[in-house]
Amino acid sequence: MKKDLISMDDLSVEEIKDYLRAAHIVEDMSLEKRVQYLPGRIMAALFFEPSTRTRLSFESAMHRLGGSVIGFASKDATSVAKGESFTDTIHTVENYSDILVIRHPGEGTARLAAQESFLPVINAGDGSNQHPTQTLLDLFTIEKDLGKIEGLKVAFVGDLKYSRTVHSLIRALMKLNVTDFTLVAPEALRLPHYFMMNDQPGRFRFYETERIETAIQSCDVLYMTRIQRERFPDLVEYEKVKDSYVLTAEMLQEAKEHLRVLHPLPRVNEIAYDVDKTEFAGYFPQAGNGVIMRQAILLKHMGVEL
Amino acid sequence: MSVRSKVLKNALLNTGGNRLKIADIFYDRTIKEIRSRPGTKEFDWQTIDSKEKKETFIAALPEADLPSGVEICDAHYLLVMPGAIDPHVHFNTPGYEFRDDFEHGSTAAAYGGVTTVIDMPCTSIPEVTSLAGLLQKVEALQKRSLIDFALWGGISANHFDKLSSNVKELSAAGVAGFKAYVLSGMKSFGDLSYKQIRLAAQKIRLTGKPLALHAEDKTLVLNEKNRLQAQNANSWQDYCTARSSQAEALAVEKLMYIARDTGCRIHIVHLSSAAGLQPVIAAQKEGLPFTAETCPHYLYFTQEDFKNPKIRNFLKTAPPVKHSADRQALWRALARGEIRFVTTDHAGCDPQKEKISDNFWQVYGGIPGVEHRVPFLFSEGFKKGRLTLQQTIDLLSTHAADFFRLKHKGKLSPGMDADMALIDLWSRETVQSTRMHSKGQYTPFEGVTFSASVARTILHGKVIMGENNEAEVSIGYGKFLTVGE
Repeated sequence: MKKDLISMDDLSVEEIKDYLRAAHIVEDMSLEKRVQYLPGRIMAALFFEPSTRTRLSFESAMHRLGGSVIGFASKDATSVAKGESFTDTIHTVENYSDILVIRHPGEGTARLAAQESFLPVINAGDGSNQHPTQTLLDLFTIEKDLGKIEGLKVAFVGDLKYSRTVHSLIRALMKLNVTDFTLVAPEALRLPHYFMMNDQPGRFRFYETERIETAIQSCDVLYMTRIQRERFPDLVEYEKVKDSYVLTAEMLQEAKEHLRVLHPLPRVNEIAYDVDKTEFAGYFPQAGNGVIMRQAILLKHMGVEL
Repeated sequence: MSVRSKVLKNALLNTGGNRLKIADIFYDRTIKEIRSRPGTKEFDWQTIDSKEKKETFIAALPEADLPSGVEICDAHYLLVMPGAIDPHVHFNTPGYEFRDDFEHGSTAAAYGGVTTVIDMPCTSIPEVTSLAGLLQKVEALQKRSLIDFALWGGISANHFDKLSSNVKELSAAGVAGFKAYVLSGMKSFGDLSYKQIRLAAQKIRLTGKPLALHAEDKTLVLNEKNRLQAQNANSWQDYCTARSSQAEALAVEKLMYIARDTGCRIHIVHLSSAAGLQPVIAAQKEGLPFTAETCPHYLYFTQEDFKNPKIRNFLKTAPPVKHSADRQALWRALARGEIRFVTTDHAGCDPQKEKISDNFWQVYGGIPGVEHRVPFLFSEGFKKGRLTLQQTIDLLSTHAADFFRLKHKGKLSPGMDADMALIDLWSRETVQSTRMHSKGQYTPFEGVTFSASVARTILHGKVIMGENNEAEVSIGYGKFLTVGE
């Protein structure tokens, strides 16, 4: 039976750990060996909305495995622009390729594609809903950089209300026994309360603050996100908070030695450039880990046992 | 010293909430027995909440039936509470006695219903940062206190290299806890970085004693201060701008994380703001060993009061008083048990020398308040309905005794020290600096009328301050209390 990757919620703890194991195996493999896995196979990258980073990362992953890539980078360049339905696009393209990687602004479209198609479907982000490959690469980065995930103290900074990356990662971390979260956000962008509700009261700790410095001394992972102007109904409010959530190298003086600063990128100004040179900066290697994790995902979903 | 058996008859004792009973208390150095008056029942404060109601109530009471051969003292139906405890005073002995000293401080304390203080480690020479410093201070304090006292140990940047041995030795020698600063104004007692505080907390945790911290973030305050001073901005407003609620809140939050990560008991001294209170409440919800105290000035004044030139310099403290919303939040936290006790941070000086500068940064910061805390809290807390009688007593005595594990203090029950304060809840007394007993005679409370007063203070069964200013004992009567691990 074909295997799709639509949502982190579909994955058991064992399955998540399987992806992480696979990524570690891929990483340890020589480039010469990797390229022998998927020659002659084709990945269709159907990007109904632009996402250069995710698309390039998937394309790079497929090329690294010896396969090739077809697809489009925005719906304007497709028959959708001529009025073709989404399902028709899927039913057409599935004849050209071996796996579908889909990015779409509509929530739930990835699951629809998976139901329609006989090919494995990888969700590369649907609306504000799910972006599981980002979460898996974040988990892989954390495990790789810190040696483990369970029991770490993780702080999230910035837009915790709308960021699907944050939502998905928090859920996954909770599954993996991360219990101590610090949430740094302005009042207007706090994590929705239902994230903190669960059937094991007292097991998880969410401490909410508006001060980024508070989190730094104690956490193992500092996950930064972009605060987007358009999220604020009131520009005055935006102006007030935008500079309070900027991480600088000076703030990191009291960090634990092994602290990793992560960011899904692109960054705008929420991480000062002087942080790049510190040993804490983990966000560019994180992007590299994305290619590794996506190789592991492509292999798994195309039936290659590692 | 042999003490004759005595009885304090006609005592009003709190039995919880705003409930009271009539009792006769038998004691010598310690309390022997508390005998509820036969034929009387518990009653509510409302029964006697005016002079007239009280007179009527008393007239109907049966006389005490007391055995012969005991010395009888009369409490005249005043409230009798366990001797008040002020765990945060700077009495400045030895070394800074031009500001205040233990004779004056402990006398003022006795006038304020206080029978035990815990003196801070930073305002003496030497500082109490090592066993040697502690021993020198204890020696210097021989025969110099009217009331019992324990001592804080200190952790300063100046002696941080010997952290581990100093903590062990000071704790073994009986300090009540350890004090450190996130931001200190003293060259002789330098503040610690958060990393150093974390290390100190790891060591102190092993002693089971609390680590108390002055919590204002150094970076935030000094950045502002330097910016303002560079512009020659030297007013009280500038001082308050630099020492902001945000600076307090940030420090408190960071310290909360240290409590969580280390398991050390961390106590925030002189909490001043609602923002700083927030993490304290969050920490307690989480069950962390994280506590706070506040002081009368934060509960009474706001920055509006700096506009009054008569008290402006007298009101200066670090952190400064905040705004009415903060004041309200602090009262609410007291009533909810979120702030553990009320202290004074008693710190006096010669007002003619150190309270006169026009440059607010230069003005000495500190209020000698040990004499006013008890009447203040009964008046502004209990009488104004913000606190119950029991809460008021807990905040002034019982909670501090529990928190610092002061043996035989903080409660009225058989076996406890016969330390008692008699409180007149029907009198009105206006604060006058000329009648103060600390060395520096000044207070921002000048002219404020409290609707409660301390009538008599008893320590180990002896009157140390009576209705006519009489005392059965003199300076030197008070003992040094050591606190076990």
